[in-house]
Amino acid sequence: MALIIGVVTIISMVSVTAGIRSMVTDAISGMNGIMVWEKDALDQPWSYLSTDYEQKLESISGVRVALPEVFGFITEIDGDTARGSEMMMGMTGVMGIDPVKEQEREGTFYGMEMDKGRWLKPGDKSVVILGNEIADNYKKRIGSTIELDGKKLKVIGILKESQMFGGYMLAPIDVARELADLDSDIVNDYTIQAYNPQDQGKIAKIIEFKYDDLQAMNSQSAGEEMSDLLNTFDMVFLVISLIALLTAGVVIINTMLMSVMDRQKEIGVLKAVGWTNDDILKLVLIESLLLGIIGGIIGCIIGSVIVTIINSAIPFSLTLTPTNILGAFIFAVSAGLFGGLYPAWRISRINPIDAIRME
Amino acid sequence: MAKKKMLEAREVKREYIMGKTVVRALRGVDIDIEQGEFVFIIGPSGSGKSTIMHILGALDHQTAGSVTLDGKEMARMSDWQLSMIRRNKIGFIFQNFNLVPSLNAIENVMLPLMTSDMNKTVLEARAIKLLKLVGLGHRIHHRPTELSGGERQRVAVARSLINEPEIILADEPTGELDTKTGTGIMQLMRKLCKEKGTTFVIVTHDTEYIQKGDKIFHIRDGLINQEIYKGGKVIE
Ligand SMILES: Nc1ncnc2c1ncn2[C@@H]1O[C@H](COP(=O)(O)OP(=O)(O)OP(=O)(O)O)[C@@H](O)[C@H]1O
Ligand SMILES: [Mg+2]
Repeated sequence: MALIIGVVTIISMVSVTAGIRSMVTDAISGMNGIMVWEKDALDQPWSYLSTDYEQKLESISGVRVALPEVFGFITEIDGDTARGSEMMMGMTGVMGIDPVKEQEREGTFYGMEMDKGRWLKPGDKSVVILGNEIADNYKKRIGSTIELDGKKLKVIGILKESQMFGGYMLAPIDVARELADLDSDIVNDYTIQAYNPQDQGKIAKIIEFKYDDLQAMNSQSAGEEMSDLLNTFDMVFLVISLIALLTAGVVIINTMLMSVMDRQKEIGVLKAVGWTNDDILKLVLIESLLLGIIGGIIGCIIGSVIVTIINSAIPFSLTLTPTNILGAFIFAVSAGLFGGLYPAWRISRINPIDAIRME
Repeated sequence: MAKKKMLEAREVKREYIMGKTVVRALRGVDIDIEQGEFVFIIGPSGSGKSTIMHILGALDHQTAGSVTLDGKEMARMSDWQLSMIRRNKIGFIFQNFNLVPSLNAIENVMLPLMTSDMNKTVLEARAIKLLKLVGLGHRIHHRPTELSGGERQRVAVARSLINEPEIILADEPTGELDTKTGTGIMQLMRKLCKEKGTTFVIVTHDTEYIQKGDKIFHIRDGLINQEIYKGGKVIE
């Protein structure tokens, strides 16, 4: 039934956009600053920058702090092959940050929040903070020991559940360097924070102009680009929803029209024994409303099942909120109501005798 | 005795257009029915009996002429007013019963008042009483397809009585019944006429019943060609 398909489409699409939106806003709101990494590098983990840049970058006017970051992949956890996070295409990563410098960061590192334990502090040596997925997968708590590629670390904190960082670990920069096999004068990237966030765009341009081998991305402009993209998504989504609504409406009109035409004789009898046009109108509308409700319920169930199946098959999750389900349901019910209006009106005006004569 | 005029048809014509030919089912019918009368309409098949009954019963419109109910011209009434007349004032027994196949006997009987604000238990009790009255107390949950022709006809009779109408229009109400049940129904109608003053207009082929009518209209080819009054007065 087209109504069910319509509802399913809407549910799936709403969850896709909502999923992407929540992931992107997570990432962007967390990334508060300018990300600087080696030009032409595939991505931050494959960018190698000298620690000299810390000084150079901080000397640019308007820059408040340059925060070094290291990123390393782990192959073994507790002596077994690491089970990677889906988010990271099956790989497991450790991010290293400098606990001393981190004190100057405004906001938390990528917006991460602690669930249990504490954040890194100056002087920390062989310690690690785990993403919630890793903590769950390996049954670690505060005080447990975790062995990463043969190196024993003490778990001091566990991150709040998040799609983005569930599969990450966070360690002091020296520990991460060791795991990433980096020399002590190399980092992967810097996050730069300005005194005035409005200067970020300008600073990013200055950095790229000054240093040919660097690439700078401003989180604000990235955020704007993303939200433009998401708005386009929303528009497409809106158009598809309208088409679905229209199709469902037409199908309901058709179904109800056929159903009332089949029962012309019966409806003629109802009118003949004293039912008013309004009584007939109500009868047919209640029927098509029921049709909408049933279609809506089935559609919502199928849609939710599909979203759940998709979620278990792809590395990020679609978000399906009760509000979205309710919205899709209301859509089905209103399609039922509006689709029923015309057939109900048509049949309610039938001449009883003509209808009764019909064979 | 002088009574209040109930139904009055003047020069009523009803034509059906079928492609290029015009079927003249009624060609100028005059009928007067007073309150509390027991009236018969007789005539050969195809003479227009059902057609005039439908028009008198606010179910169909004449193509010319006028029909008044209680002095009010029905052609000038709105759909809603006509529905209200059918619901509250008129009981109609169709020649082919016209029961709703998906509903059982008692639901069919309650049908006219189902959408009224009448209390459902009161309505149900009244429907059961009527079904018992027509001898179907043991068939109240049967659907029309599970009933015999005569039983269906009696459900239709019970349905016409549910709204305690002032006037009952019956198109061959005994056509499917054996003489005994037919006579029973006819006696029931006469009783209602006498005791409650209900007006009856009955189409029939059964000449033995018509002797007891106050008036008999004889219709032929869409025209009343004979009006017989009680006591033998005949108008040709
Ligand atoms: N909807 C219609 N379209 C065309 N002609 C019709 C229609 N309804 C009735 N007629 C014609 O009108 C005439 C009168 O029909 P009507 O049903 O009133 O006859 P009747 O006297 O009730 O006959 P019977 O005793 O067989 O029931 C018939 O010739 C019939 O063919
Ligand atoms: Mg007839």
